[in-house]
Amino acid sequence: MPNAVEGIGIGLRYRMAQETLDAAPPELRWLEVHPENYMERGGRFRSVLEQARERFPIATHGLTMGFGATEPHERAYMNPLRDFLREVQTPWHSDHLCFCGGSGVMLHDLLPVPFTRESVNNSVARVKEARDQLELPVAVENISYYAHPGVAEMNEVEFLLEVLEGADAKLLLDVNNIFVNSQNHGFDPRSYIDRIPVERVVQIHIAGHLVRPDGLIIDTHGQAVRDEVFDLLDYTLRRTGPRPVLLERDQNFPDFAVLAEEIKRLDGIYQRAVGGVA
Amino acid sequence: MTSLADVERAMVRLCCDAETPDLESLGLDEEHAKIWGIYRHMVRSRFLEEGRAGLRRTLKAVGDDAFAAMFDRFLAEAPPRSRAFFGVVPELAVFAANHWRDNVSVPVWASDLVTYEGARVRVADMDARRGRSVAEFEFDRVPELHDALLLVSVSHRVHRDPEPDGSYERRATEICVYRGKDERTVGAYVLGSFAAGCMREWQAGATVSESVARVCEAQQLAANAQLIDSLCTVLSDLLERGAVLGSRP
Repeated sequence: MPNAVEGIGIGLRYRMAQETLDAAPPELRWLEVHPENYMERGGRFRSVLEQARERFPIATHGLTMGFGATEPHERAYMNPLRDFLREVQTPWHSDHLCFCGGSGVMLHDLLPVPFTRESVNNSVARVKEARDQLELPVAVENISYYAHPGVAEMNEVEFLLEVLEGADAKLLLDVNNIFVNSQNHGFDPRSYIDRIPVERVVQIHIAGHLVRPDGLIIDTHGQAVRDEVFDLLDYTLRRTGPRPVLLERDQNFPDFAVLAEEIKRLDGIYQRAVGGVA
Repeated sequence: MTSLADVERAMVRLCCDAETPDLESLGLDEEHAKIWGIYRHMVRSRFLEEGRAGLRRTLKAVGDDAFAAMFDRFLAEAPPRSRAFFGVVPELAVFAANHWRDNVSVPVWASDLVTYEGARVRVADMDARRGRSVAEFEFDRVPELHDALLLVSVSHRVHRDPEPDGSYERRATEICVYRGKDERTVGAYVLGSFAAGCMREWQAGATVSESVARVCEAQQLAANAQLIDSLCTVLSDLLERGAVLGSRP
């Protein structure tokens, strides 16, 4: 039986699943799974999931709950999700503080929610309902956003903190998203991290991003992690202490050996930051 | 004042409307028009890319322009509702099949082709009960079909390669699209109208014997040795391929 979710993990993506399972470096300790890609799905994806479960502990990360959404959670989604989470024995379930669509339409992207009081109250209620329905700790992830819809009543970190506090929720801290937002919106990413209540952090995300010719940074999960983001992870881990770190790579897949090197570098940062190794 | 629900609806319209909507009317600032355009592009291009990859034969047959025009209508009129990203291509295929039926802007077989290709995509991912008990095959029991199986009725032989001119032969065809024993490959098996009728009866819970009687009556056929032999051949093939697993216990 695999051990707990700790150390460095990577997202299980079908296109590199076999390499992930066959060529995993020893530093790779766990896998993250998007339930929407595996729930109520048979065939080759089910087979990959079963192989993964035999080898690694799994944490789940949803894509469509959208804690900013205004519609109630759908039982037709939540009940099978709860069953799936039990099946894979995830210690918590995370999803994003965003819109994913509306009126039943699923846009399959992470769209920005307004930083307003109404939005805080809505998200707090939605996170609580999710936790109750899933019967599991729920972690909220901060997203990258490129423009704010409407008039903001607070800044991003204030919004996040209010939702976490109001819902008494866990946090999946996406360090790359903080970096991306800090560059696009002009703030100090370390001051953002300094405000995070470390006791709420259950997991960390790290990823590569794309810098467009016009300077705008897009969170693509399709490039190598940049040095500045590795540095910010180091700063974060020194503050939070040991938290499982997940490398996100969703497109533009390189040779798995390249990802293995990133995993080793992440593990080095992780070990130094949490173990005090010089 | 713009409510949270208004903003949510604005995001859907921003990404799905056929033309980029007026930002002011959506409560989105013109100052960030380029950014809102990037959001629109990211959402739409991801769906389109997935559709093009999932429906390759259809794309090749109808061409980029017809495919893109259909895709624009899909997002504007019946945008994705599936929470699973893998569910988007089957939704697109269903929309395309309806949109292209009796549509003179595309070849007459386009609707059939996308119906068939969409069925293959769907079958690849359909859930299947695990650990189900199956009995030895018997004529007086209900055949147990693989859960990942669809019976597709089309008017052209779209399961085959196209003719040299790129068209497909016009002939009413019943295709059993199934997931094979390895649970990875998707197969197609053409059924005659009698066997297809029987398979529909099995799906509704009839035994093989019951299905033969009912379909013979409906299609005004005599249940002679030749008919039964042909059905036995079909059943043997489907059992071998894993489309029929055995009989219901």
